[in-house]
Amino acid sequence: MSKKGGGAASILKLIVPAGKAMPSPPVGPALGQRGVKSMDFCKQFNDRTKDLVVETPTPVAIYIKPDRTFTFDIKSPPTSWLLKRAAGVTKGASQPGKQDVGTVSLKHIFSISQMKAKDPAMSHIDLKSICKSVIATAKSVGIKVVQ
Amino acid sequence: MFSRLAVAKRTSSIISRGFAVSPRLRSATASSSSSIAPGTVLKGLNIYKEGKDPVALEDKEYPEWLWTLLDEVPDEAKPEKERQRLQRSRVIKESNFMKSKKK
Repeated sequence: MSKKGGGAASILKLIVPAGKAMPSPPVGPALGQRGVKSMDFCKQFNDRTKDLVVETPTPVAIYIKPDRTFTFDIKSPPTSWLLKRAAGVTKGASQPGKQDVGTVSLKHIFSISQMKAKDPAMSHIDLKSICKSVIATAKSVGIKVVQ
Repeated sequence: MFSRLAVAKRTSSIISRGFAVSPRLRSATASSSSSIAPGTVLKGLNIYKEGKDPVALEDKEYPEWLWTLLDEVPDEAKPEKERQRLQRSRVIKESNFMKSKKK
């Protein structure tokens, strides 16, 4: 997924805490490798995520052109993270399918799906299908879905 | 080969009978009462600084299909392609099992 230097634009996918972009480990080297100044990205990112609660994990896709300019798309937080919060749980099951670490209701699923539906990537998918995906994610994390 | 398919089919029908409550029965009792009472705050789902956690609405205000999402669809009711896919995977698992036994 990483093309260095000249050629087509490269895409870098990261999960960055909202409002707190800067730390060297996740962001710095990944951007620096592709010739982008991490400070520029962090300023823009923190600005765009200023409405979000600080430290919300935010997936971001950074499109880097050969001339080292970049644009980025911000998406909704990871579904598994949302589910764990809704269930009041910090960690997912170590053996999903065999263990249940929390419970969540269909109403929670509906709210989560509404958040997910705002993503540009989900714009053509109907809400029912998104709900089904979220239920499947809950299963993979060991969170039980009830009525 | 035919007998193996028959065995696979037999075992599958036993496996699919996983739940005590049949789909029709569950949706009849469940649609009348969600575990979350309307007005409950759905904690943890707000990600905005200026926002609040969403509040659960009345059961009627949610779309009809929401309550059907947890229903188990019996194998016969599934679309043709999905049934074939499941059949294929059962046959493969069966044959893998037989091969591992031979070792």
